[in-house]
Amino acid sequence: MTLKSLILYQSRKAPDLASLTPPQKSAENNPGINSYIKNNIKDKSSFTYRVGKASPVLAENLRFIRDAFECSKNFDMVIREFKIKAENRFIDAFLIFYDGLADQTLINRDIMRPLMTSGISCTSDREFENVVYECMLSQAPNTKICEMQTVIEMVGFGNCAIFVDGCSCAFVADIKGWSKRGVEKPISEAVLSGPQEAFCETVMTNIALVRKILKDPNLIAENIPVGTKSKTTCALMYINGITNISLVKEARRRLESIDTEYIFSSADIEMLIEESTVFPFPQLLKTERPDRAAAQLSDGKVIIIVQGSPFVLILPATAADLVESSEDNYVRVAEANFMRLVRLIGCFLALFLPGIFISVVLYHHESIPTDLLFAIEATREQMPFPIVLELIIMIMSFELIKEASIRVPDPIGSTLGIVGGLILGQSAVSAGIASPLLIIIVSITALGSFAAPSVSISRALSVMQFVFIFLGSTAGFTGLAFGTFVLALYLASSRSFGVPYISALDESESPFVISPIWRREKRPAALLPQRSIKQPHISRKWKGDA
Amino acid sequence: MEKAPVLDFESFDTACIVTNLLTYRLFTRIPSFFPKTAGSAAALCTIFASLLAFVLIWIISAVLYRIPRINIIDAAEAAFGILGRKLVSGFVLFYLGVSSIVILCELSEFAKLISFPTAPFAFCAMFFLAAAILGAFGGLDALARLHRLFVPLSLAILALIVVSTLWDADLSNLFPVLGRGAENVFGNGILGIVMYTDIILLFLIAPPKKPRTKVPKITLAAAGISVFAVSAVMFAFTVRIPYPISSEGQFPIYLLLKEIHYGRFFQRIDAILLLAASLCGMLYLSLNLFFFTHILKRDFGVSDTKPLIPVTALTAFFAAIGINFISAQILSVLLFCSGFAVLAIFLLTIIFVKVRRRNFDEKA
Repeated sequence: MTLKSLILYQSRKAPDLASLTPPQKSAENNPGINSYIKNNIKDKSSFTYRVGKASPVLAENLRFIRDAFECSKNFDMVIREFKIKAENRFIDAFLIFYDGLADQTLINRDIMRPLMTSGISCTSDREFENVVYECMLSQAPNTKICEMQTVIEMVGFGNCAIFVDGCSCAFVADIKGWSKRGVEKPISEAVLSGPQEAFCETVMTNIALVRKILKDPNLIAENIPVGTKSKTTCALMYINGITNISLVKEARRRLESIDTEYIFSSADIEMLIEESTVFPFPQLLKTERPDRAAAQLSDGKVIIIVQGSPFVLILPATAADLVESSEDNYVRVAEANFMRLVRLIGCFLALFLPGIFISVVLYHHESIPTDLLFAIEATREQMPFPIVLELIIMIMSFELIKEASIRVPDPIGSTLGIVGGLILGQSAVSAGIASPLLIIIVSITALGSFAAPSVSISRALSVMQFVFIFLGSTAGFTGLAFGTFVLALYLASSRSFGVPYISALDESESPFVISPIWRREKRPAALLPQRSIKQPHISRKWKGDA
Repeated sequence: MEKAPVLDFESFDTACIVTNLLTYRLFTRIPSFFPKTAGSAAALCTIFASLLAFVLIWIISAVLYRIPRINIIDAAEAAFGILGRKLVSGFVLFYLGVSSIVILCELSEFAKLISFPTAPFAFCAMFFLAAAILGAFGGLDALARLHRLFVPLSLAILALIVVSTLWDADLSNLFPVLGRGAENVFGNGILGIVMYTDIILLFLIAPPKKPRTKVPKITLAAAGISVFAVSAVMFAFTVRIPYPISSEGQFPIYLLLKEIHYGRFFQRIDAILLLAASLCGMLYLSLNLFFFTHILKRDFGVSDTKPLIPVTALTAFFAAIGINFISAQILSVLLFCSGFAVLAIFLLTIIFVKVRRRNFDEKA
């Protein structure tokens, strides 16, 4: 519990502390801290209200809890009052949990039954507290918590809190039992020959998926709750002894300094911690594959797993990561290199092809054979629009189809593709709205953008291509050179968590060529890892033995 | 995160910068000086000037690299006092200014020639001006990374041009071997060093952190590759374009390019050359602009260089338009004179450094 939240319940007898509280700031300007409790407090004289801690008087705790959770309105909040069987008496107690968030079977079996049926033999309250905690609650993740604010947060996260008369603490049992999706196949990063596991929405499951791969005791998972109200669990993971401490500190600093009420997904975290909002390319990688996250961790990067999001953030991101696909690690080196080359060409075409086409047609006729030039001009004779407008119309039509096919159900998606891609394209040519060559250009551009290894890169390329169309139509290749220069300059002067965005170019290993695994001896130098050597110079020792 | 190490003499980035500085003028009309001066011995004259330039670079580097943590302007101060510092800085500034205006003019003319024969000169210059301003704002680190990306591309295109033209080489264009006479080739040919005077930026970029007894191999290799590239292009030009057509004052590389025909698909690769020339030209102008403002800040007490970048760039832009309107010849003369003046000052500094070595080491 923070100092501010403690002060909130301070009685008037302590003006010195109260004076420290910023006036009118506690609730109105920062409603995340206990405002929901403050608004409902009727009697502030009790111990619980005064110090924000669990009271030894059960009635006080009960009243506080009812106020805090607004039990009169919240129909899913369950407060179950019962009596614990002691040796020669019954002790009052109650437990609270949210119906649907906590597992009721566990509550009945591991909490209620032992407490109500076993007899406790003890003399003092202190001893009684220990006996309940150590002997009676058989649920494994079980903690004693005195701060009421923490109890409220934990109950909101699916735990069950048990208050016992005479105990100045709450016993919080981790019995989360909400409905969740299991580990399924990755959708946006599907591979043919690799693991078929994807992250899900539950943070603990996701951490376990990574741990299962790395099996390294130095793998650290720090819990950093983000969101003043939602307290969304964000797991900051890194490998101690490999990852640069400054990188970890910076990631932690940025996460901890987020001041917002609610966090819904990793996309929110991404936007809140990235360097620049206008930067066209992703500054943090997103992956739904545990194997990719694990590989990046072993390289000295940091990952952030956010509760409720199946996409894990990897930081920092560099330009080399933009062309990397998980599939690269599961195929033979020659195959992987060929696929990477195809991807690079695809990205290049997606970004530049429309601009180059416009430049050539408008300014650099001499670059193409005369026959082809005549053919282009012949097809364009009947066209009502200028070529730039024609190109933009066709690209926008394609973007429309792409966007629509994401929204419609799967069975209709393929039909939409056929209708949009084939029929509309053919009709546009027949109607004289677009020339056949232009359809080819737009199609190749679209295929190129699909070859990008992630959706965010594909979208970035789609946006950027309009800039190059504009520059190409304005100044031909000079305009394209200008655009390329500015884009490259922007990339070169940008940093992701202090690491230069195109830092991979500084290293001996080219980001464009994949080397065999036995030659990947070093971690990326730009990350300044604590241990830069991954494996010895000769990792295939059997070669020497032979 | 800690910042990555900044530009160093030994880095590949510096080698790329050196290469761009030494080869960039191939994309301008300056190389036409060689056929004009030496006639059919243009290639020989280029090789001679290139060798001289290489030796000069080697001497300056060898002396300067022995003294850690100082660049040529610091060396001038140590050798001649504060007046020497101001004088060298002033000359470097003047040279950078003239050089930027020349390149802006040439580059814009080149773009106009290939893409926009009817467009005004200022329209083409505007793109390079904007790129230079943005590049200077981007800083030296970013510019160095861009050199790493674009300079190999430029070299590859130059190699492609040389290989493509040598295919149909006419060696009889090399005769008579001494062209317009030995006096012109080896006497006036010395002026051809002006092709390489931009190397002065190398001695401003980054002083070595530790004293070195030898010039780093990568710097020498870059200089060697560059002078070889220039010589190779001029050799290809000489064997492909006969004298006196070669001395008409056009862009030699463009004339050479027009001789290439790549079958049915790419009739000509003018546009690709324009792309390489523009990218490297933008880098060159950005670097010049960056150093111009950097020297102003370091040696003339200008506290904030950021507003100075667009102002300087705009001044160069209007100067380029004005001079282009009057006569481009004035600029060429200015460039030759300032280039030689700067080189002379550098050499003088180096000689003083060599003579007063002990005193100098203490100051360093």
